[in-house]
Amino acid sequence: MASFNLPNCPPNPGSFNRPPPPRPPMLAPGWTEHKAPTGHSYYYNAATKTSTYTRPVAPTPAPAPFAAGPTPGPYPAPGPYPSFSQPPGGYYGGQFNQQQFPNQQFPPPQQQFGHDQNRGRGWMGRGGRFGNQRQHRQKPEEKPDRPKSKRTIPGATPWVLVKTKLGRTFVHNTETKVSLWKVPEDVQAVIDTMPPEDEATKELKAKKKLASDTDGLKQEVSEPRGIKRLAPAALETEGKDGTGAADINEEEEDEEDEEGEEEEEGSEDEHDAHGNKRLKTGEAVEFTEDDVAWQLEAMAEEYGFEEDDFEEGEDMIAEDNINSFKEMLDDYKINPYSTWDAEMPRIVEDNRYVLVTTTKRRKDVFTEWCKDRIAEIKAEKAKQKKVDPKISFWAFLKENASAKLYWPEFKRKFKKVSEMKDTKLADKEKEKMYRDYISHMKISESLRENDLKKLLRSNSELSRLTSLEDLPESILIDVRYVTSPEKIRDAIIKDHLATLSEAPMNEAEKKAKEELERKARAIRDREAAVRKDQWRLRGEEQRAKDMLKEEEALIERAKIVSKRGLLGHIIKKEDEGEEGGKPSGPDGGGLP
Amino acid sequence: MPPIRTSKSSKTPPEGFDDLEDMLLEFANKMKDAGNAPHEGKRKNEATWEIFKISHQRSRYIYDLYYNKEAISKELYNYLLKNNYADAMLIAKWKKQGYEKLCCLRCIQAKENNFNATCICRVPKARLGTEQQTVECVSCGCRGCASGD
Repeated sequence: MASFNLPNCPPNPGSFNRPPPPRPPMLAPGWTEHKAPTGHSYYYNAATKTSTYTRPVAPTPAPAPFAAGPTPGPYPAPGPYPSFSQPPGGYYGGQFNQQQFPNQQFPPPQQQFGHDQNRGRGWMGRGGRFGNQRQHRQKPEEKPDRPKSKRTIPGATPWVLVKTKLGRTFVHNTETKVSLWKVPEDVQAVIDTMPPEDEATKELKAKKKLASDTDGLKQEVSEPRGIKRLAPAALETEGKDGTGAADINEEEEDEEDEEGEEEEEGSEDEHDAHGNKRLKTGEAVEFTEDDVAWQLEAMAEEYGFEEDDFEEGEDMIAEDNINSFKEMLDDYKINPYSTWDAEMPRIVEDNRYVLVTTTKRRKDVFTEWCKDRIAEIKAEKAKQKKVDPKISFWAFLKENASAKLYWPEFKRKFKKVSEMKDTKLADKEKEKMYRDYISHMKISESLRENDLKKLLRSNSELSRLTSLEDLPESILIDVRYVTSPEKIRDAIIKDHLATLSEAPMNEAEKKAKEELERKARAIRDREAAVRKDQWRLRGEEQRAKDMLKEEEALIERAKIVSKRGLLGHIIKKEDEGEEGGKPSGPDGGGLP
Repeated sequence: MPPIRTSKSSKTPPEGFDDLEDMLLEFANKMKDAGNAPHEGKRKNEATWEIFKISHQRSRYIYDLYYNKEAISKELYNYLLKNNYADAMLIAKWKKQGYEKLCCLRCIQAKENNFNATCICRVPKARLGTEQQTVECVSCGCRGCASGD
């Protein structure tokens, strides 16, 4: 990561003015002594670009510390400062917002700090920015100091004046990449004559906008910017000698910057007096909420953001996140009939798991997803044809049933088999099927063949177009079909199908046929009843005739008068009365 | 505790039971484990907590399936209740406002407690005061089942 370091030892602003204690000039060649605003002195070797607290001792006297007599332009300590590694005494790590700076020592000053010209051209994204800002507001004192804005110094071209968030200022040489808390004297002189910040920057802004429209494209792409925010009264310098100096390592010079400088030079004189006054006070700038708001507004304007652009975010994202969360559930083939607790360990590793933020919300989404998924599954099941569980059980019996086993034995033997465990068929049903199967298998093949034929004849769902594969369920689940000898079964069915009509009878035909049958049956019944009546009548007739004959015979007999005359009749009557009134035969009259 | 289903006594469960069977079996196994778990080192009350917990989870599972996910038919739901897969009395409480997360029925039996108050787990977290120690109720080990939590 690029680290963007302030001058090596910028401590709390209060200690800036302390003069460095005198030191014996006994440094090794190449080493320079520097003073941290805290009062520590440290040593820097420009050649090796190392810095250290321990004093490198050498036999020869060391060169004078550079703070003594700086020259304009490149600073005595040439080359970039050792700003990547944590410098001694420096408490600004490279930890803040690194992504906003390019991966070199330092971004060009114009882009980093020129809030006026470059603002809004290359933000990393508003999420990141706002996030930072929020954080900053919460714990301002914990945040390390960082450069906030920068100005070019018109009289001393390679130097830029950089202001940090804490209100400290330092100068940075864009050519030599040197940053100093202590401003070189000649530069300081120029700074003193500079106009105060606001007017200058505002003018700059207008200018820069024009310029950036034309040629700013390149930077836009390549340079993420580190501006946090800018206040109207942003750049103020603590202009006193040797107080606030800082260092930034920069690597690029921006053309726009040059323009800005020229522009600034024009306005320099007007604001001279005012600027000096401001500079002398050296006060730190307080950022108020208003300033921040102003800043944000300005950003939004630049971007063409609407008010709601800032608010919109959460719900939209949540919607997308929920969808991807559900996708994840789909991907992992989560069982919708399961519970959250059971399924959660499987998905917790996935990246999409955190898209929905709270566990409560996740559970809700999970329930929602389950509901939808189950509805889908149900719909699918409804579409599928239901298969009678008997069919599979018949197949199972065909393989395993044997006449040697009674049902309980069979059940015990196969109790682990899924067909036997299947709860769709009641146990009693299974037993009945088993017994049926066994009893049917005992009878001879020809009888079973006849049974099959009977079954086919009785079935009304068949037609000539029925194929062997899609026989109706009513046949498939019948024991007569199952037990029919396999070799000739297909042939028998085919033969039967050939005799049928094209289509199975539809409802109307069926009704008509039934009606006919019913009528025929009624007629038959009626005939039978009539026949019975007739037979009964005939019987009665016969009986009546018989009786008649008998009576006639009696009369005939009575007419026959024997020698005894009428007396004979009387005696005969008496005899008959004694004998229980038995009718005597026609010839009986003549005997006693 | 649902009865053990043997093939002899099996009355065919309503449609859709297969879908739940795995989870129910899992609960049954957990319950078995909890029943067989050693009680050494546990407090007297603690021994039954796991049982309550699993029973609660299973009831909640069936309740969710029927009322939230709408995954099972009324027929199957009644079958499950009848066969004690879920605690019907507890579910009846869950339908009432303020009892949506009730852990067990004992925790709302005020008369069983010293001060005729409900169990500590019924107290919302916000009203428990500042002490942050976890509360575990005696009857079922619940750590808080107030609806607002």
